Amino acid sequence: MTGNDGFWPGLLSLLLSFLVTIFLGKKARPVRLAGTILISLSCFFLAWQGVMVLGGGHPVELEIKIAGLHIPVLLDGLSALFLILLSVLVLSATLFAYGYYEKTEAETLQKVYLALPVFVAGLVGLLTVDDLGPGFALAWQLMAVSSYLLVRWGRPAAVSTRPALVYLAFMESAWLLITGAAFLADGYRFGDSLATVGEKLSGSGPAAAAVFFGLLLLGFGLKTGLFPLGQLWIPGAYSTASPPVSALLAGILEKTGVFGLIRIFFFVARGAGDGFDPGLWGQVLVAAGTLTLFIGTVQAIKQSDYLRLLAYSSIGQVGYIVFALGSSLLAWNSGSPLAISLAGVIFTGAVYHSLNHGIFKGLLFLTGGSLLYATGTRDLNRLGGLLPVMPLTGILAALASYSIAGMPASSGFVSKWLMIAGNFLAGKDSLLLTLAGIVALFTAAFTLACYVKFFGLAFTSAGASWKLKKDVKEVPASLLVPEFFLVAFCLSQAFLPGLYLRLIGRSLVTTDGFLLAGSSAEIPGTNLTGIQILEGPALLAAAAPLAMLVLLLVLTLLARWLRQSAGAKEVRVPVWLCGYQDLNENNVYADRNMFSDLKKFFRWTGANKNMVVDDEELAGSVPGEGKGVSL
Amino acid sequence: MNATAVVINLIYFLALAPFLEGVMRKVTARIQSRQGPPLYQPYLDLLKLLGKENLNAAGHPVFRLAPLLAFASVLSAVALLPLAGWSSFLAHSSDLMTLIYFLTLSGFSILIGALASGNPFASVGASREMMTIIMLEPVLAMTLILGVVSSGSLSLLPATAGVSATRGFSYFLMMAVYLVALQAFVSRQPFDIPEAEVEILEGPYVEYSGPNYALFRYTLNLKRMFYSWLFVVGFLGFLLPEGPVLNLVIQTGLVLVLFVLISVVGATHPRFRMDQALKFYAGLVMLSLLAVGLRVKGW
Repeated sequence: MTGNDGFWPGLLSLLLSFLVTIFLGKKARPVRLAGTILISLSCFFLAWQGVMVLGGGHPVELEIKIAGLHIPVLLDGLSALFLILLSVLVLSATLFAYGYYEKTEAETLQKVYLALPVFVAGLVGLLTVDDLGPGFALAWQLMAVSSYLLVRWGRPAAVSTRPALVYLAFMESAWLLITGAAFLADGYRFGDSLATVGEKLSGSGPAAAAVFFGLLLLGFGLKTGLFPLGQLWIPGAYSTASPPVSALLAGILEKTGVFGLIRIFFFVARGAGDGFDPGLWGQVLVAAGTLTLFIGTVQAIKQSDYLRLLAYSSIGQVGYIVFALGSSLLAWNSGSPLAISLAGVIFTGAVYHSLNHGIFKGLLFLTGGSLLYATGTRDLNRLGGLLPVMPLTGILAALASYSIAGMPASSGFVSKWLMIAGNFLAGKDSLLLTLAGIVALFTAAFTLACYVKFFGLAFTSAGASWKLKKDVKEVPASLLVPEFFLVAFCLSQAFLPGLYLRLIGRSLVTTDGFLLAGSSAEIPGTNLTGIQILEGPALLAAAAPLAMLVLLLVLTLLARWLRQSAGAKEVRVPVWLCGYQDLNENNVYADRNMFSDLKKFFRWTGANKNMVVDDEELAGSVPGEGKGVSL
Repeated sequence: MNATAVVINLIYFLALAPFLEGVMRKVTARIQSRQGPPLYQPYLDLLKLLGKENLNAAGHPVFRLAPLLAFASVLSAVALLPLAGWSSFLAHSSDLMTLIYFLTLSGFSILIGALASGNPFASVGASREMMTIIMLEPVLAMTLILGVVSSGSLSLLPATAGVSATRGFSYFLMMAVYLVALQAFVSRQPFDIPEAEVEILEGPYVEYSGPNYALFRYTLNLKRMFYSWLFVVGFLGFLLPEGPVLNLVIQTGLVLVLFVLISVVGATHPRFRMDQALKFYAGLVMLSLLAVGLRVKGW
């Protein structure tokens, strides 16, 4: 039992953080400081643990004995990968929280810093515990109860009680579904490891196995936010929790659901043998994922509350991951050698997108937090023209928006390319896969529209100078530093895809019992060369976004030269409104008018209610009609 | 293939795109019983605009960056094309998804520039432009995917050639859809809703003037040429001969014919409202989905 040097110290410093916060009581500054230092410390330990597992190339198995219960803990490549993602996100969210909670009163602060380490410990547990029994229950409950409290304390009770309770109710039902499903395996003992569950499942008949996989899909689907389950709790919870917490909810909590789906459909499924029908479950996942990615993203366009917009868009992005997982299963099942190696490419894309989405959605929630911190409003109708006042936050938001929209030379492009291109090539004879791929490609334009709206109406355009009662300033460095930390990862994911592909390959090699084992996902870049995705060396389009960036830059310079070729001078002029009047509060373009025809056209997708309530309105200091304009 | 193919691509498109606008204006004028400007007028317009003052209504870098990015991204898309049956030098690091995203990027730059200007007319135009991109990008994507289904490759040369590889029901259906969508791709009546001069004053471009506007005009010209070129190479590709020079000459001729057609339709149709157009586009999307479905089934 060696190689777990980072795991225990990591958990220990989380425990310490919890105890120190109790001890410090209502002293606001020391509580913040101690919490930040100890949680950050645990992030370093956990990341180190992850790196050690990946570097060592051997999974680490532990067994915890508490009160007669044996909890199997497995630190393999896949857990290590997600553990590293968790450390990066928790570290930046914690640092961000230090500055963000500066003005929070001591009582709330203490409560938040009590719940935060518990929440992180729960997430670590979900990524490492290797059963569906006691260990899973412990980790899930730590995660669910603490995050319920964090959601509840995110905003005043009048608006947070209901979403928080809804969140808790769905988390608990997901837990019941998952824990209960394990009993369907023949001869199941409470506390069996996942691999054992898989083996026992193979002997329990196809009906029981089908119900088992169905219940788990429902349980983890609730957690990741599959349509229509995600719509029930995600928008409420993510927009109610305070932004650093939302960054963790969207960045990593949602990914533990993805992690669960991968564990079940790509690992336990292998053990289940004939009990698992990859064709059937592949179709179910593709259908559910495609529906989720389309509906989630269309609903995001309709939101004026930018935190809700980000929440709905999280649902959409998870849809991409689930779609790719299903498409990978179907490609693997089809049996042709080309499709089997493409299954690996698609699967790699899904994992890559999980990492990408964790980073850029985390970053988007943090920039959303900066906006909320600086302006005090969550209503896009009241913002506009903030770029000159908050240039750094603006650039960060632009980079994150660009990445999530999957534009060329961004991290989103690489992962979406792997998923969608693989899907098209593997599924060119399958109607379902081709249509799902088209919907996925089509939805990228919706994602773009969403983030054009978010960035365009908050940072460019005009309006905030009239509609906000306070002077807006750039946020302090304590909020910007963690955002720059995340943006560095985001850019590395865009420009060093080779590195990340190797990392994912490495993590799959270090994980036993992978369904697609032997296919190319394990060692990307080496045995993918047989695939004619492109002429010439395969996967270069994913590995060479730099070439595209250089092309774009050279041509931008050409355009710049052309613009200057006749020596034109720039003159600053006021906005021209046919000469009748100047730009003012009554004629700026408000968010609710953006894409209005499209919103009407897609009314049937739901989530049409678009009310934004700011905290200051709850306090009654600003009357409701001061918001926006009605054209 | 070496880098000269990229340069040839760029020169061919940059040189010819304004001329095609000249053709469009001439044909439109003749239909309206006017003399019309000479065919080289768009070149003069561009030169004139380049020499004017650059008016800046926003005062921040996004406003200045938008025209550069719009122009550069549409040119990047052009650089990837397999012109005259040659694979571009850049084909190794690009495919049809890169192409589609570059085109979207150019649309995106126009919108973000419009929003940056702060003018409500421009914002209305931007909102309409984005809705058009959302509804029409799938038609473009599905045309190319038709080729992917036939050729099994995402590279541009086999994918464009694959569109006309089997000329069954799916081919004719997609061709009809593309021809109708073409009018919207090139933003001419009845689908010039984002610009709509008499209604929202050229929409996204209302605050742009001088060299910045010249870049946007050039972008629009390049885009129009790209979409017509794609029709010729995709749907009529099987007619084109092997030899690159003759191939290029015939391609150019067919693009010209297509431009005359676009101008005739444009000059004789009134503009749709946005909500009407959305329903229309949705119909096109559904039909192209049907076409892809039919192709998968081998029809």
